[in-house]
Amino acid sequence: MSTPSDSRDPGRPLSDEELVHLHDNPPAEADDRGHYRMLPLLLLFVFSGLILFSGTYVGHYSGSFSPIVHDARAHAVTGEIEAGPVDLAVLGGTLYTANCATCHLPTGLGLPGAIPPLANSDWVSGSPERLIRVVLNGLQGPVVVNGTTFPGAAAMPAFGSTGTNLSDDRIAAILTYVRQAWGNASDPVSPEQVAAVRADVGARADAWTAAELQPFE
Amino acid sequence: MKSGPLFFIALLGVLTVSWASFALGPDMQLRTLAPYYDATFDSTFPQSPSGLAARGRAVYLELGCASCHTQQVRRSGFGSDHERGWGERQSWARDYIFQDPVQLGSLRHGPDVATVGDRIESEAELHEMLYSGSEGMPAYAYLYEPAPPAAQANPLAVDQVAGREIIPSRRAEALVAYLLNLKAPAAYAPEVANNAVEEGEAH
Repeated sequence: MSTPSDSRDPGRPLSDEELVHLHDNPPAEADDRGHYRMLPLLLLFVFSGLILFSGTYVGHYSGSFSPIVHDARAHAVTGEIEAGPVDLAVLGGTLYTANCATCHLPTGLGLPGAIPPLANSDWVSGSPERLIRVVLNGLQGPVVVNGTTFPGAAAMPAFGSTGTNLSDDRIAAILTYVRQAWGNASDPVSPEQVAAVRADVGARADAWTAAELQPFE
Repeated sequence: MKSGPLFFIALLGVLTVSWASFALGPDMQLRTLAPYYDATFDSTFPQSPSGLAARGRAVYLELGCASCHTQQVRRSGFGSDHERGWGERQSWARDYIFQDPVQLGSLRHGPDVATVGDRIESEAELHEMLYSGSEGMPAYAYLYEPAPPAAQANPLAVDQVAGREIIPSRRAEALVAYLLNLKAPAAYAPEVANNAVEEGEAH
């Protein structure tokens, strides 16, 4: 192949005509079958391999593109996800702070002469039936706790259906917490126990007196 | 240009597809994350900081703390965050739903502060660090001011200058309240189930 530029003086700039002629030539020549070689075959395999690798990598480590999968090694879970079992003592702690701590104090010590203590109290460690009744309907009148008489100037409000209306689960949680906090070590109270007592009490609206609760001791 | 309109349409297409897949899509997806109700604590998580801590977040933003501190814990075995005691589990997207703007940070010049409230012993310790700075951290002494004459000593006083105590300003108090509010996030059941790794699969 020969162009005018091959024989020209290297110092002379190309004329317009020469430039156009230069661009007339295709960048590569067709082979004897009229095909142009576009891409070396090896590069084609390299890029195919890269695409295959990337696709597999994304498919494997994408975490299904889920906003809650954050570990590349984990796989998305299909179907309903169940929360773990509720720890009654922990839930009870939260509910105690919200409902009971105003009077019985976060320490469970109560107020001498007015509010009976819950820590190391014979009422708390005693029978759950009596304890559940106190929470459901409240308590009024004088009461003897650990041998000390509280005149009952401040009545305890009801937390059952006539009062704050806490569910069986929540009353069980509070009582489980109260029976196991501050050095207390009594058995937990189950929601079933609360449900049974609630059914037994029925539609009573008045708060209990200590004398009425004597049979459940 | 010979194929001007075609070039323009192709360019627009490339930009639109990138924007949709890297900005719009993830935003719409992360928007579906709602606070998780945990029956054990009878509360929803994560919790938005309130009161003084919420104002402290504004101070955190304003001072540019995120330039050197991240709020992003990497999982155990991926970086050394777990070994450094910066958090038991890695950060999940749901942890950030109440952060606007999200304070991920990008440079771990200082320690990660995602769970700093669990590591710091007392308010006074943080005030001391902010007032005098520490290795690699500048002092933020301008957040502290001389106390008005008072009968009682202020327990949070960080210094004595010319017989007057130097005490935290409202901004310093808010910032410290915010930092102490940054605690280990809760375990949301959907994330716990979706990020469980079987023993044999770990590599």
